Amino acid sequence: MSQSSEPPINEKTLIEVKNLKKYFPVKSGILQRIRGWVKAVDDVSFVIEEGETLGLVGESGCGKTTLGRTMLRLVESTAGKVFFRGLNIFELSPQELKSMRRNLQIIFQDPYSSLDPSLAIGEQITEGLRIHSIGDREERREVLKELLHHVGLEDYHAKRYPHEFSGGQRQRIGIARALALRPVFIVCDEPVSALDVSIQAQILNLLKDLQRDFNLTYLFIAHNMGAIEHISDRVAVMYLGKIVELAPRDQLFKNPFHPYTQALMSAIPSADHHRHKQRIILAGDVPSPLDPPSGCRFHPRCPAAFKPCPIEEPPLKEISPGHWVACWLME
Amino acid sequence: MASSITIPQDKPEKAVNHLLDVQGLKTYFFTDEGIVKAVDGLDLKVRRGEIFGLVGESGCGKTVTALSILRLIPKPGRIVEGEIFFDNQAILKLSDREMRQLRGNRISMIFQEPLMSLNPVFTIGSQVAEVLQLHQGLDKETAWEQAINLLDQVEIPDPSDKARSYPHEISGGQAQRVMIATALALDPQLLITDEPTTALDVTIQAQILDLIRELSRDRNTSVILITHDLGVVAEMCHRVAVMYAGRIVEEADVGFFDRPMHPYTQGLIASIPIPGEVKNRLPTIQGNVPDLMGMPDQCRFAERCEARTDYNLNICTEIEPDLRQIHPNHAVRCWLFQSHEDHQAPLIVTEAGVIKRVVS
Ligand SMILES: Nc1ncnc2c1ncn2[C@@H]1O[C@H](COP(=O)(O)OP(=O)(O)OP(=O)(O)O)[C@@H](O)[C@H]1O
Ligand code: SF4
Ligand SMILES: [Mg+2]
Repeated sequence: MSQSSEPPINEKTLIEVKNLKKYFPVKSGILQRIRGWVKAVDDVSFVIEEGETLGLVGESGCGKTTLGRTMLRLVESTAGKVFFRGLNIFELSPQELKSMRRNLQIIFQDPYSSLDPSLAIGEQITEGLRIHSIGDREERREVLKELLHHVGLEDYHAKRYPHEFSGGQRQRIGIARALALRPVFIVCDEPVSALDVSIQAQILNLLKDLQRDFNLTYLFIAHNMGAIEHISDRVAVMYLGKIVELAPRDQLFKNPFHPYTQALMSAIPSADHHRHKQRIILAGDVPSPLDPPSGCRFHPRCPAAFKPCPIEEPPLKEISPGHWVACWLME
Repeated sequence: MASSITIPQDKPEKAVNHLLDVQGLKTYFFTDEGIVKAVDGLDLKVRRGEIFGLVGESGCGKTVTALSILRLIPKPGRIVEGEIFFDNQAILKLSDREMRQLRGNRISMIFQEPLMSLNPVFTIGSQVAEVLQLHQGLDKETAWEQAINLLDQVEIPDPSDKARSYPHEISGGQAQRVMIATALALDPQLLITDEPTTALDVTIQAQILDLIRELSRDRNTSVILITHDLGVVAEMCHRVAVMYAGRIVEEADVGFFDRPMHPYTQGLIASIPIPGEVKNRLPTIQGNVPDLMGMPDQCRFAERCEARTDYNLNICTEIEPDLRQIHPNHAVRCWLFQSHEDHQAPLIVTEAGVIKRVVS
């Protein structure tokens, strides 16, 4: 990556991701020879400031979830570094990593499969406290009560099992579990996309309240632009393993520069039929990350592609303060 | 968007010859745990050439409605009451053979999971060609050529190559396009699409919706578009019905998004973040989507309804309101707008479509 794409670091920086890569081998045949690599995250760099929400948006398979999980070292990275308050997470010893885990939590998309069906939810919420030997039984019970209260559940819910709860309630349980260790940073991986429409707003509000009350920092992953805009301070747009645009929220929504961001925004169906805009309908399918297009990965679908696009990859460049774009049109 | 489409003109209700007319439909599932009243007294009219949106949250009965129209309700489900007229024909009275004919020729359906509707052991080209052979009586060779033509029309790249692919070799978006090609081959009068784009990426969704709109416009095909996405409805449909817990609670021309009247629809629309209009907090609907088992005889939204408490309405938890016309082409199922014995409707809708408080 060129010099221009170094993210700025200052004292407010909580997380710094540097040239992060995660490649998955694709094997075939009886010998399980490696046939190629899926470059799920391919040289991604950005910073997240203390207390902010960085939204990460992109279509399915573009690498959002892998990025979130690699950052937390839930899957091992292929290359790159992730710093938490200046400490490289990838270089921690198992012991150091265990205590670091308290700071870093994740909320999953599917509130159904992420809970253990055979365990009362109270025990699942406080499991982390037991693993880290925090407090005695009595204290843990107090913490549990507080947590249930914070996420809008009742004391008596603690003894119940996951199947007794609705989708929205299960997501509240998942959030309580993530909060138990008083984390600093939470990856929210599509936390509302599996929920009923009328429940989504409840959970989005809850996440905002908790952020304020506990001074949390979020990486909020979603494919829904409405939810992303509602909750984020800054937004990163991902396409086939790369960040193609990153900007403060209002700037990105008012003035998207990357042709992919523009298409993504114009494709959002809006319930307000007065604001219908010109739709940009992209041709073709999302290409496979196994064999991504040469040069700019978006070029085969890009309505504005020109000479350099199929040949060389455009660098992520800061075109105005805080607004980063990877597109040859910017050169 | 809606303005570029000619909306079928409003005629007096009697004079309209609807393509589909569903009256008082009840479809129940008789499970071991009890009776699930998945669709419970549903009325629906679809005009020729119109795109009709059926919206609602998960489990409210949208798919069961579609399967009822096709008479494809699986066990332990059964249509227990109601009438369905298709082109003035009472289809619940047809024999199974006649019904199969109708499904093969005049009504077709596109499902959320297109791969499930395609046969995994035949190439996509041969599946479209087969429809042409059966339906239009083309010979094998012409049918194959015509199939490639249709695949080209739905923008499958390299159609003559791709025609030889098997369903597992194509993407979800392409599979959905193959389903639309099949619908084009059939040239049905009514196309039912059940969440045709929910499994797809946003930029692919835009392509598929565009194809459906074109198909309806070019061939005057009526479309029932089932979705939980109010944005999709606003952009695609002429008329919309909002379902809640097995019932239609509001039905109107698509312009009603400017003035939804049912407390549920109002709450739902308000709770969806609108791009470009950031609010600090989103308005929410309290509580959860109700269980359809043993639904009491009352307004099904009552538990979650704030209007009920605001207006101090006792009747909501005692008797269920009707779906009643409150303005031309706008029907609502809510006690706020209808009176009954001791209950005086607290609101009226003026001729201009404005909601006014009744002063007593
Ligand atoms: N085979 C079945 N046996 C028992 N209950 C069923 C069956 N099929 C559907 N139901 C019930 O009927 C109700 C309506 O289901 P339906 O599939 O029509 O909802 P939907 O509106 O299409 O939801 P979604 O948005 O999730 O697709 C639900 O409560 C569902 O559990
Ligand atoms: S009938 Fe009563 S409870 Fe039902 S939606 Fe109307 S006001 Fe609310
Ligand atoms: Mg359904």
